[in-house]
Amino acid sequence: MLKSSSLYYAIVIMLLSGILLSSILFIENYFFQIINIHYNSDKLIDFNKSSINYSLEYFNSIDTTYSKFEPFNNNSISLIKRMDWGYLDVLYCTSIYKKDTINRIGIVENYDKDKFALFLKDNNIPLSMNNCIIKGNIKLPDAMFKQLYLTRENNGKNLIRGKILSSEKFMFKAKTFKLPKVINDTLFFDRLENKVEIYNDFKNKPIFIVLKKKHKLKNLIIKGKCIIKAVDSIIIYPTASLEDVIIISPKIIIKDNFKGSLQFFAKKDLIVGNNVQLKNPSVLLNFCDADRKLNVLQIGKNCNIEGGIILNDNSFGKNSIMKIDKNTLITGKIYCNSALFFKGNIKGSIYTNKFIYDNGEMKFDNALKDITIDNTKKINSIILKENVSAGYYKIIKWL
Amino acid sequence: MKASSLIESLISLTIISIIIVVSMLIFSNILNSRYNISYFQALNRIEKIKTLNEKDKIFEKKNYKFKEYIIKQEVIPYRDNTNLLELKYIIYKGKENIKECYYLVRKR
Repeated sequence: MLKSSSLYYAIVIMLLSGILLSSILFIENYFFQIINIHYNSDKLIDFNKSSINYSLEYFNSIDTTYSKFEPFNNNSISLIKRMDWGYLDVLYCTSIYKKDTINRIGIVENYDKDKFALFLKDNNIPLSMNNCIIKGNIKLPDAMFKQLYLTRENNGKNLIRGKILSSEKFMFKAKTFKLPKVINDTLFFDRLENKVEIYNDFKNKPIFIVLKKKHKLKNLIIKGKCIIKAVDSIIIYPTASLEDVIIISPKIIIKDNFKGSLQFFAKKDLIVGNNVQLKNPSVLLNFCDADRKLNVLQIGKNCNIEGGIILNDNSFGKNSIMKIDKNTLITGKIYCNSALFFKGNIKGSIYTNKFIYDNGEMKFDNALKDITIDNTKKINSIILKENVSAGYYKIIKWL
Repeated sequence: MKASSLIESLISLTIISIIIVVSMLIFSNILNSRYNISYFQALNRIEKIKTLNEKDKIFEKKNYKFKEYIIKQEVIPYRDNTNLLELKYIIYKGKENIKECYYLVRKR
């Protein structure tokens, strides 16, 4: 039977309310802790974004080893460094605030409109054009161009929207690059199995895949910080899924319908088939074998390539050619210090030693037909020159 | 049922009143905390202002009113760099400064 005793009741009520109040206090305390964690992580993200903005503004002066940066003098530290990844520049930014750390890595490109839509070295041959559209300022030998007459009927007019200036007798040298070397403590394979899948984060050391024989890349997935190096040649099929990787080989053949976003470095031949789609940032580079009779960088029909196409011949065009076929759209830059057979279209700029137009019957020096060069819009493009002070650097891809 | 003594009743009344006072204090403290829903909405508003400003590249000293808060946006040149700006957001509740956020943006 329940006894009438107010003191007991009071004690029971006190205990119950004690439990209730302490649980409320506990929940409040827990809630504050969560708020603090969120607040600190928000602050850390802001510091990191701020540090990236700062790094992009001073991109040319950033070192290849980590340097410390304090954005707001309030115990937050950022470690910044840049690294070459083939022909591209990669920015690493690690921000530390209290016990938390955030890491971000991105590919940096120069987001700007190039000064010139076309630069043709002064080789004493005037440029002749037929049915060409050029939007943007151009530099041509003697600041002039002629009409290219092929037949009596088919002579389309040319449209040039921009200034025509005199070009110089020398082309600027393209940015030097160091091909990554196989280091002892990095992983490497000497063969690739069918259906292999390799993913490597950019925080890690690169994975080297060194192939000793002629190799076909098909039915595989390789993404991230990986370098595929072949001693002889590599053939890439559309069933290969490749992203952010570097391919180095004397001969590289990309088969029709391949899609990806990667960098190719060839020493002898780089042949791209038809309907190939390479997303930004992609690089096709042939650094030409000086002892070889002819080195070729060739891009087929109906391709869509975003990034840079570079033919860097140290003998300045004596033993190399670049060919870009009909209906191919390049968004970015073309650098060719040799002869360029150009029949495609470009949103960006072309820097070349000379053009050659081949209609199957005859070859014309410094001639162009049915092409469009449009440099009116700002695009993300690879950095061709060393230490570009002008322009606006931007992260175009987070890794 | 037995009746309780006067002393017992007094003690229990005292305990209950102490409990009521303490619980009221705790509840009022929690309810009047600076971290209520509107505070988080004000923080979200800062994020929105920041994103829009960065998108439109319009950076100017401005005050935004949001419920019981005033969000003050200050724009300070960053360490002699003409292309970098330090955005400082201060949330005021009345005259009390309850939060400050810093952010570096690029003018271009």
